Amino acid sequence: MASWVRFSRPLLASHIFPVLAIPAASVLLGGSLRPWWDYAVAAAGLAAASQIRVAGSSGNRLTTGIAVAVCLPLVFRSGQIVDLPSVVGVYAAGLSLNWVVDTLRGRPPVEVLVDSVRRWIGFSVFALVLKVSMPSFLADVFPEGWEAIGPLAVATMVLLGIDVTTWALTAHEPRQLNFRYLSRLALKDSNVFVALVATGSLLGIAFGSISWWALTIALLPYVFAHNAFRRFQSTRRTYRQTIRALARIPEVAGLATEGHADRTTALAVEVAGDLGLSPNQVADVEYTALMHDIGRIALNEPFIVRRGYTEADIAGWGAEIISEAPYLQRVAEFVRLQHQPYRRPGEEKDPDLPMTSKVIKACSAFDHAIADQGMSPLEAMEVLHRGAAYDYDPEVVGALRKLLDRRGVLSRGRH
Amino acid sequence: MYQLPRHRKRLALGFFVVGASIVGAAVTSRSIPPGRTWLPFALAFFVLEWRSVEVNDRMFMSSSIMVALTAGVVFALTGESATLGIPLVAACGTFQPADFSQRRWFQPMVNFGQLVVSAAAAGAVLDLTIGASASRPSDLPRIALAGGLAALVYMVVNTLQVRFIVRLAYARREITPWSHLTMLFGSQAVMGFIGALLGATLLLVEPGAIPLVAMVFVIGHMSFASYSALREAHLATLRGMVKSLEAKDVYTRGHTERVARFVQMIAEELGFSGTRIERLRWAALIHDVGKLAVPKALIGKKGRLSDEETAEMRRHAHIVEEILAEVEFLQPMVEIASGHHSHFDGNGYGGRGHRHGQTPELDTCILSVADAFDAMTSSRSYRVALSQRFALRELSENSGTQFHPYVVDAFERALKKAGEEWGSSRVDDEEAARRLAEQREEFPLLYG
Repeated sequence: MASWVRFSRPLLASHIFPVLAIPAASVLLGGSLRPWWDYAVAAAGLAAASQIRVAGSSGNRLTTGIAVAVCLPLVFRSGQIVDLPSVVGVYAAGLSLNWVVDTLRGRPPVEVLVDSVRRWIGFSVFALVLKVSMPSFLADVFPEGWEAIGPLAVATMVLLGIDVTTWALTAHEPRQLNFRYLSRLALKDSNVFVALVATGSLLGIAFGSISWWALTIALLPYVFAHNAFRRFQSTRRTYRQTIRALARIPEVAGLATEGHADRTTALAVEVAGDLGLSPNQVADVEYTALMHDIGRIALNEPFIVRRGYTEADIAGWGAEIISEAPYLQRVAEFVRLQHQPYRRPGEEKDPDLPMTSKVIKACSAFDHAIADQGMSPLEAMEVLHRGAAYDYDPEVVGALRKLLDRRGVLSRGRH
Repeated sequence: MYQLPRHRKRLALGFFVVGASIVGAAVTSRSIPPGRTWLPFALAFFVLEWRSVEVNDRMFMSSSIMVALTAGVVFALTGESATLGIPLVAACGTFQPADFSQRRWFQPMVNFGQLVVSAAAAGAVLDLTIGASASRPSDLPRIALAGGLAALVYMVVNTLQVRFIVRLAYARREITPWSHLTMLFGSQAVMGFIGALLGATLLLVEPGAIPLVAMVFVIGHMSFASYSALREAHLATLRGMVKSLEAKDVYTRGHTERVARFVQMIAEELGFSGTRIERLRWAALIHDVGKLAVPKALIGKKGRLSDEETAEMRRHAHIVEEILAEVEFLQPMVEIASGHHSHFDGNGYGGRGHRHGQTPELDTCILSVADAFDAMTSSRSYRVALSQRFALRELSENSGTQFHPYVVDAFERALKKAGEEWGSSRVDDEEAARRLAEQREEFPLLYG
């Protein structure tokens, strides 16, 4: 059974869309109002636009295909009535074509298939909402010439909702991040999404009066925005690279365990996501984890090593170094607090201690136990459990344990 | 309190009067467009001037010219006068909140005048080339070209005025030569082209499309603004962290900043472009990052190093490459930085930037001279600072072997021009400097 599934999933994938495309084509060719090449151009446009990815926080979720998909129901309509079967058919044909191209370009067929299906559902519901709402009261509340705005706003909300949910549902398995975190991450790209939808709507509305000139008018502002998105994301990437490079200096100097910062970061980011931290907070966790040992650079000074030092000293030096960067004050504070116990004997839990620092403390100790002391993950977890009275927040330890359980790391024993 | 010279006051007033009379003519004339037509444009113009974003490093993108031309085309096509209409829109954008809060009045007044004059010139071009004709889609290319032309006229008139004002009011400020403005003019013409196209389209499509255009522009504009902010944050982080990492060592504290300064002096003396100077400055800032990973016991060692220790010490030129390998945008700077111990005659050592037996790149030679000069004129653990006289003599004695003669000459000239004196005033000989260091107190406490 299992081997059959493995064998047939790509096979299945290679058939579903063509199968979908056949009824779509028959609808288009049979009872349609326009010549078939109009639909062919639309489908080809959708496929081509879907190849252009738009930079955003949520990886390669968004493509310019969204703009083309949005404009289609506005173009294929008579008066206020959207020609729903044609539009849905064109979506199916365009996305199938896109799937073929993506597969030829070497993307995993199943992944692309899942992506295409979820897009097809979203777009089709978008067109359906427009069909229902365009001739309704929603259009009537706006003055002459503005009728499309109300239905478009509602349909956009619906499309955004479907897109975010389906993406978070389908992306969370391979990425091993939880649904809530991923949906919030996807919502961070709402500005990109709205820009795409506005461009598509503009194209669709203007097409009626100035035909292909609409393409120029819609493209000009969009190219500007597209460029801005791209630059923003590439700068964000560079920022991360820089932080990571600087954080590696103690490791290169042999003052910290090689790879410790990277492994701690990978772990801490996932734990933070599981604990329900927002994407911005998770970004803080990432930077803090990368730089939590940067204070060890001070150990390069022989006289410090002679004099002796504590973990608190290292945290303090690290915070001092980071606080020179004007935009990382928060991270510096998290690094300063990373060695703090979450509560002291006889006292309640310290409410001012940020979750970030507690996550770093536990994840760093876990990796330290494995990499430096040669423990198995299970033994390392034991250390954390033993320290849960004062050192490690049980909430963090619990999340870490669940995460490792989910991955099957703990049952594997010594590695 | 600082008093404005009288001729500057008069200049400001003159420009303001010209501008005000054009706006006055617009307000009183019959052909002024109705408020609901021009006010939204004026508002957009104001916001874009207020929140202008930086594109492509130094070039400020002024999307406001696009809005001005959109408005102009709408006026011209609806039978109003663009010559009077655009100044009206532009006038609203000149007085910025920052000017009021800082109580500046000279610049805003002059600005007002010159913007209104430029806007009127652009409007006149539109009035002459478009005329009031009901537009069809087939008219769009003609109108768009007129918009591009109007934007160029706007830029030329604007630049002429600005140069005139700068000559008169700030006698000594440098003026960008015309040849450097080609890029700017080109991009402005494109903005005008787009603006005019948008203006003509607004009349052709249903009004519901207008907010959509604005929306995409606003989102793009906001993203650009956050990109600029992030870019700034990134550079500030890199600068601050490199500085603070080095501050942990008393002998390298301030070293990179000084080297960055020297590098800039040399580069300016040699007439390098702004981006090249900027790249050199970055190379100077990171050139000793590798040293952070070398044990301090070696760097701070008094007396000569053994062969093994020397090899370990020399590793730092490679370590900078290793550490910064992943930071793509720094790669050109890393190449310069990793060669800062290579010699003009092809000796020395280093990473990628060093090719044995070959003269290194000029940028690398500049960094190497600046680094050596600062090493001599600042205190080290094993000797106190030497005098500038000694350092310069040393540079010129080794010029042609270790140092690039061309660079050494430029550096001497630049130091003389700046009238700066570095290093100690007395210590002119290396032996004395070493003896003095031995008499010095125990290593100062750095931590705790």
